[in-house]
Amino acid sequence: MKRRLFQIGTLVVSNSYIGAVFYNTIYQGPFKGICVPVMNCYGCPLATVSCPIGTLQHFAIIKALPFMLIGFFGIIGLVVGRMTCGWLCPFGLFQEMLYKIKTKKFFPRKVWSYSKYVVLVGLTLLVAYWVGEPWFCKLCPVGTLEAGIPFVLWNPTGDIFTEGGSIVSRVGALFYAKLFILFGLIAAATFVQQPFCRYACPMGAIWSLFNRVSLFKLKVRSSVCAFFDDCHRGCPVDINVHHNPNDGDCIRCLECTKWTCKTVKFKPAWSEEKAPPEHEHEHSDLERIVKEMIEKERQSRNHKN
Amino acid sequence: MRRQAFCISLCLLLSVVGPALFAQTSEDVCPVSPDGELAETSDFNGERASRSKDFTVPRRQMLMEMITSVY
Repeated sequence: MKRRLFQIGTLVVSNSYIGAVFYNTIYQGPFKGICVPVMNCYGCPLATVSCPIGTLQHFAIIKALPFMLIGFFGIIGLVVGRMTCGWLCPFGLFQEMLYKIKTKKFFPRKVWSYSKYVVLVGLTLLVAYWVGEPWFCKLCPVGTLEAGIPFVLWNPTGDIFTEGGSIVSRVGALFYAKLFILFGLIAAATFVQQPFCRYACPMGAIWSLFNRVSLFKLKVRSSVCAFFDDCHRGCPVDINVHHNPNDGDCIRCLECTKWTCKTVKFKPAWSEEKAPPEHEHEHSDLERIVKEMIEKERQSRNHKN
Repeated sequence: MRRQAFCISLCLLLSVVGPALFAQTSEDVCPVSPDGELAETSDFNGERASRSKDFTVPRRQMLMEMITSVY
């Protein structure tokens, strides 16, 4: 519930320029110089802040190094890793809601999750650098949902909007391509858990690099789940947390810390530097015994099947 | 933990010193002028233009791209 409030809060705060309705213009004030650590289209009529990926592409186009942005990525990533994806991203919330629709569910292979790095390096950086146009922004489903569709519905008049004709009159093949991508993604999100976050989000690709090295990490007290690893079925990105707690796909939603087995904790790096408690050996003996019991149970289940 | 603290300090330093060295301001983050007016090519003149010759894309054009990229 707390997570939902954070996600909705981010959506509201970063898209709260009501002046767009009254003054027929988009927000151009000082907050547009600040990025939010999630995907949030800065072309949205209501946007008050900038999208880090839009900014990254802007710098790739003008062929300059975004020092402030690199520092921003580094600081947030090194502290919490990909936690902003799980706690702040409104588009992640949208996909989580879509996945709740009762349909047949699919679990694609892990190897597909590397595609987000291709999107980051290829479409976001290299294409923008070479072509000089923000092609990821042009196709981004977040932009289509937050800015493309609202702009066409709003169809503002005056100011920069009507240069070269009204917005509606300029709607063409690109807009339909964007709609196709967005609706394809919406359909996919009802069958697969968070497909955009896992397979296409360049922002997620950047944060995922920090998951293993961040100051705060998920720590598993025991790799043995007494519930036959069923726990990972509650993970919104389908990770087996007991075996790979700091996987690049983990969005640090911390749902796993509430699971029945109580073996997963979200802790800062300094907590592991403390001396292990004296009863640690007892734990490892207990763990071995439990492991053996689980293995026997599994074998007996397999025989029955 | 020390490694992370060192890297965080480095990032903090980079985000402060880097923009100062290359005359990047928060305006560069989003191609929109903070005073509410759409900036023209003339924004990139004087000392700033001479220190960073790459800033040659007119902001108005960038803003247009930003808007046109959404529909």
